This record gives sequence, structure tokens and C-alpha cells, in this order.
Amino acid sequence: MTTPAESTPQPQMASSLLPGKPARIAAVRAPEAVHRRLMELGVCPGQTIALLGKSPFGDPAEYLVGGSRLAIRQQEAATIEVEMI
Amino acid sequence: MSISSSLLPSLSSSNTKAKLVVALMGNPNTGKSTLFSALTGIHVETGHFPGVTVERTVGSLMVGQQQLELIDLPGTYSLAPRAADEAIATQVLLGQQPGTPPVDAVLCVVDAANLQRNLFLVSQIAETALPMAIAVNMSDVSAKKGISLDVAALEERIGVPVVACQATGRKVTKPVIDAILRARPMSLDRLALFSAEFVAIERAWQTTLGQLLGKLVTEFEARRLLIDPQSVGRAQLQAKFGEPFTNELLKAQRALREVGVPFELEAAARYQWASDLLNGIETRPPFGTLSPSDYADRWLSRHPVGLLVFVTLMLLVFQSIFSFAQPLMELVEAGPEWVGSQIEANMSAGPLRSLLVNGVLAGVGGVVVFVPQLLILFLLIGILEDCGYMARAAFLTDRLLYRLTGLSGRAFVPLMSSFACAIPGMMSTRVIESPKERLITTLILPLMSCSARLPVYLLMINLLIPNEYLGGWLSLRALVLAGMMSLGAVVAIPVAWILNRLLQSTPATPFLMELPSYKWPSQFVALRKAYEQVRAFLVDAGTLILAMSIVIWGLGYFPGDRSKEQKIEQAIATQASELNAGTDAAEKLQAELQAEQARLLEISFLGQAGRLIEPAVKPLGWDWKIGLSVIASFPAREVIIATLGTIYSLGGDVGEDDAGLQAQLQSATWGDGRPVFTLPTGLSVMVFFALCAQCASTLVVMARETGSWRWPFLAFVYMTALAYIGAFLVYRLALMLGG
Repeated sequence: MTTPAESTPQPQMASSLLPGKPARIAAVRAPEAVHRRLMELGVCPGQTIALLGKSPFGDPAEYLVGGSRLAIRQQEAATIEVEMI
Repeated sequence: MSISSSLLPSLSSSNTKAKLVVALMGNPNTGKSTLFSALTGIHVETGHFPGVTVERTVGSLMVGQQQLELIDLPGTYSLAPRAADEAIATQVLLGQQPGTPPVDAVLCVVDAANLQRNLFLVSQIAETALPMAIAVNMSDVSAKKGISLDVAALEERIGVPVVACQATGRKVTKPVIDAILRARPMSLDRLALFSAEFVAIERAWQTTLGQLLGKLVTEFEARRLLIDPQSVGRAQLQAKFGEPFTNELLKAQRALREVGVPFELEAAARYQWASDLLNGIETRPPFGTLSPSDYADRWLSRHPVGLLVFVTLMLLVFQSIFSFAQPLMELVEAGPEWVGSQIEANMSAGPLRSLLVNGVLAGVGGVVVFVPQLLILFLLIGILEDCGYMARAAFLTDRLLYRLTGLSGRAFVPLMSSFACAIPGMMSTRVIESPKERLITTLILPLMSCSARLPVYLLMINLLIPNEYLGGWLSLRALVLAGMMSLGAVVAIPVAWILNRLLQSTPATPFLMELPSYKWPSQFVALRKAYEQVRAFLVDAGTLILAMSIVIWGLGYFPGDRSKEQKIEQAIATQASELNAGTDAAEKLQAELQAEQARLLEISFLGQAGRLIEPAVKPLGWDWKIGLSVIASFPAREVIIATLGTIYSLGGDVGEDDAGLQAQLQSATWGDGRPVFTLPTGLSVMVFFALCAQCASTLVVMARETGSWRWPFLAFVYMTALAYIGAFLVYRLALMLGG
């Protein structure tokens, strides 16, 4: 529910994805070293991403990105901006 | 202007060389090693690239008259290096790696289930203009997942030979070798397209660079220098051409930043290229279709049950080491012992015989006794790694390790292995991608209580801890043992934090890991890797340990007139051969021998050293005999038992459970009659052993793995300091508490 005072909605990050719900990566807003690494592993704008589930300790989490299964920590997942499909 | 790819020469037609050098490249987890093994069989030689800690695996095979030399380069996602280690791949491709012949072709191994991402690297390699071929591996797994690829169409579109294969299957070699022999460079019009602005800046930079260097610069070199922050050759060029080079480079990079973030531009261009390439020729099940591995992971990595499975598996690994290794170790030790007894029987007593038996053979025995444990551990770790479970272990332990030590889940297996033996632990730190993390893990590894410390703990505990049971069931002795074994790990936590602080300037690599699909492990790969690692250990560490054993022997042998000892030994030998074995006489001679040996040890250099450091170790509650034994055990911890045995006139063959040794220790006194082995002293000895780096093998392997002796030196110094301070504190504390 949006109030008139709200302008742009908060972008959703991969860390707040629900299990099984696919999304598309809009942007990666991480520091350079992390950003490069994410790109190398296929995490870039346009790719589909979904949360498979988290570790019993809550962190890291398993994500399906394109065709691969990646383990990503919360702090890094919070830099991946997504939009629900 | 486009060049039809059929006019480009293929590898075999343009090459009249007797030997073709082919580099194998690909992402991690693509079954590259399995394919490499399938192609080369046993004709493999492993080593290191000079100057770095990157493994170099080279194999060869004959194809008719042609010899193919395959270089298996480490799996990587991109040619952009994050550290000196990763620059190796590019250097080899460019023929700039000293000691490695220039590459004639590249075989890119890609994962059929993950083509788009795998093609990123392929597109980078294509820009080197080297002849290429692509092996689409694990096609059996991807078929099961419902992924299919029109291989012929891909070859048509990409312009280089493409072959689908399954490295674990039979008959994989012929199609792959055919593809290699047909290898051709990717034609320019098939390469990934970068945006016009990017290309403009790059061309300008390429020209400037060419003028600066005074020679033709390839587009590949110009591009990598532009995009990668630590690119190959940048340091050398900076050193050679100084400021003009750096200024121009920074200028070009700044201009590029106006267009966009360089690696983002690269990623966008390459993934678009891959996507266009695969459009229409690859069918995949809809996104989110779960595979068997995903279902397995629901329990194994995302559910508390997975933790249970994990702990059980780890316990099993340890159990098998102890149950299988122990009998094998005894067998292995029997070898040098037998040789020793032969020498003693056939050589007359003297320095040479003692050198051979107590120096050389003891040294060899000390090295060789590791082998069963190493083999089993390497094999088990290799299998767990190959089947994909290791990634899950890292996944499960990441949070705990990160919170406690700042390390990631990848450090778990090395750290855990070190509870058995630090050597395989140290060798398995290779799986840690972050150089900083790998270094810190390597430096705290020796703190993990390895199995060689057990005899010392057991000796002291049996001597000084009463055999009581708390609450009627919890053994006090077991508790203390558990405490001692955890001490190292507990101390490692603050040490890791401090090291993290000290190495703060080195950038940290985030924990981002691919979880490969579970697969049946290839026994061949695991066996070969285990064999290679054991061989490497024997060659590298073995020689040094042998040298150290001889030195220690020398220090314990000289000076000292050993004629009396020799006379007694002669008498014993004559007795035995004359079957004059009146047990009383034999025992008397034996006792005489042992007393003489104790005396000789006391006056040897080692003994003198022990006396010399006595004032330094007294604050720890040790007398000179303990000090001496500790010094002697610096190359290898277990030696303390034998040394104590010798000093207390029991001969060097005692074990930690020897009643005689225990009796002797119990009755040992200081000059004024106070017992030496009190609880505080026992505790301080155990704490010292827990924290000290008394293993030459580990230090040697550390030097090899880190590429420099600086690190083992640091480890030795900090651990010895820690051990001393720890032993001191424990001793004082125990005294205060009324021990």
C-alpha cells in the first residue's frame, strides 16, 4: 500500500527473496572485488535468480543463478538488486 | 571484412612439429581433471610453476606419430587475475611463462549444463587468437537434467571444433583428440562484440601502447591491461617503462570509466555473445526445475539433518584414519626397523653404524611412517571433493568459521584434516581461493592438535591425572585429554583475528562458491591425486627431515667417548650369538648399556644444550632433562618419548604407555628432592606441545605451499613464543591454585 508521500519503492535485494520465487537481476551494487567475482560466476543484470534455501545456521544461502547453484552470504546477497518476474 | 573460417589453418595441417602443446582450460567443476586423466592416463608429471604456488600438471599421449603434451591449467572463471597465481593461465597462453613451452592450441572444457557462463572464459581465450577446440563435458549429467545442445550447430556458429563428451565414459578420447587436431583460431567476426565507445578507447590505447613499447601490441594484451586491475605483465611494463606507461594506462582507464565500469562492460558483451550463440540451439528445462542434487541438498545442506550427516561423515573420516592407518603404520615402521637390526647384526659398533641406524634409518622411518595416514586422508578428502560434498561442508561451516575466525567455510577441511596431521591439511588449503585467507589458514593450521601430540598427552595424563570419574561416569582423564586437544583450536581463534588485522591491507575475497552437482567420484582421479601428493611430500619434506634427523643424531652422539658403549654392545651381540642367554646376564648387560647411553646423551651437545637452557625452562617447571627432550623433539614431536626413555636409562624403544618410563618419571627429582613431574609441570609440558610448531615436515610443506620460507619461519617463531608463554602461565597458575 503506497502513501502519497512515497516516491520510489525500495528496491528488492536478493537477500530478501522468498524460496522458489524467480526474479531477474536488475543491478549489482557491490564493492569492486565482490562485483567482479559475482560477474565471473554469472551474477549479472538480466540473469534469472531464485533462492533455493538457506543453511541451517541461516547464512550462507543457496541461489540458482542461470544454470548454476551458488552459495552466497547474506551480506553479498544484499548487494544484488532484483525485480520479481 | 570477414574471413571465412575454413580458410584459417587448422592445428594439424599447419603444424609439422613432432610435439604439440595443448593447454586445457575451463571453469572449476567441469570435469576437466577427469578428462585430462582419461586422455593422458599415467603419463603425468606434477609440479609447481616456478615462483608461485600454482600446480602444474603435464601429461602426454601419442597420436600416431604425433606427440601431444597436455598442460592442465587450474580451473578459473575468467582470465582476469585476482592474484599472481591466477596470472599463470594467461602467461602460459601467451607463451610468457618461463619453463613452459609456448602453447599450440587450447582445449576449452565446458560444462554442458552451464554453457552460458562457461562461454565467458571461452570468449576471453578466443581473443588470444590461439587455435581452439571445445569439449562440452558432462553431457550425460545435463541430458538427465533435460538440457540438450545441437553440437553441430554450435560448431557451425562458433567456428571452432566442438565435441560433446562424457569424461567418465569410455571412448571419450578419440572424439576429443580429433577435435584438438582440428583446432583453429576463432575468426575475428565471431568474437564477442564490445560497444563502439569501448572499442574506440581501446584502439586508441592500443596505438599509444604500441608507440610506447616500440612494437606491435595485440588487441588481447591491450584489452586485458585496460580491464584488469592487476593484469598480467602490468607490473613488468610499469617497471620497464615507468611513469609514461602508468600515466597513459590510467588515462585510458579513466576514459573507459566514462563509458561504464570496465568489467561490467566486458561481462555484458560476453554474456550477450554467449546468449546469442546458444539461441535456438540449446534447450533447457524452465528455470527453477529442480535436479536430483537440489533435492538432495534440501536435506544435506539446507536442513538440520544435514548437520547431523555432516558430523557423522567427519567422525567416520577420522575413525577410518585411525583404524586403517594404525596397522599400516606399524607395518611401515617395521621396514626400517628390520633393516636397522640387520645393520646392527652385520656391522661393528661405531659412529658409522650409529649414524646409519639412529640417524638415517630413524629419519627415513620418521618420514615413511606418515605415508599410510597421508594416503588415507588424501584419498578420503579427494573422494569427498570429487563427489561434490566438500562444497556442502564449506557451506555448512561457513558461518561458524567466519564469526569465529574471519575465515570462510572453505577453510574447514584443511583445518579439520590437521587434527589428524597438518601435512594433508596444508596441502588442501589450495581449495581456498582467497590468497589472504589461504595464508592465514596455513599459519594457524599447526595449532590444530595433530595425532603426533597424543603420545605426549597420554604420557603426562596417565602419570599425573588420577583415574577418577566425575559424577561416576565422566572420566577425568578423558576430559583433560579433550581439553588439551581443543586448546590449539581455541588459541587459533584470536591468532586468526590478529593475523587478519595484520594482513588488513590485502583485499579480502568474498565467499562465493559454486555448489557442483553431486556425482559419483572418479576413483582414478582421487587415487592419482593422492599418489601425487604423497610423492610430493616424500620428495620435498622427506629430504629435509632426513637431513635434520642426521643433525639431531650428531648432536646427541658427539662428543663423548663411546668405546664403553661399544664394548657393551659387542658383549650383548656375542652373548646372543653364543646362545649364552642366561637371562640374568643378558638383562644386566642391557641395563649397563642403557645407563651408559644415558650418560653419553648427557655429555653430548644435545645434553649440553639441555643444561644450557635449564635456567630458561625452569620457570616452566622443567628440568634440564625435559628441556633436552623438548629440543630433541623439535623436528618431530613423538621423539620426546624416545628421548625421555634414553635419558632415564630405559633405552630409546619405550612407548608412552611403558610402565617403566612412568615409574622413572614419577621418581625423578630436582636436586633438593622435590619431584619433577608434578601436575603443574605436566600441564606446562602438555601446553607447550599443544602450541609449539615441532614438526619439520609441516614447516617444509608450508614453505612449499606458500612459496617462501618466510611464513614457516613466522609460524615457528610465533608458535614457539605462544608455547613458552602458555606453558609459563599454566605452570604459574597451577602452582597458585595449589597444584
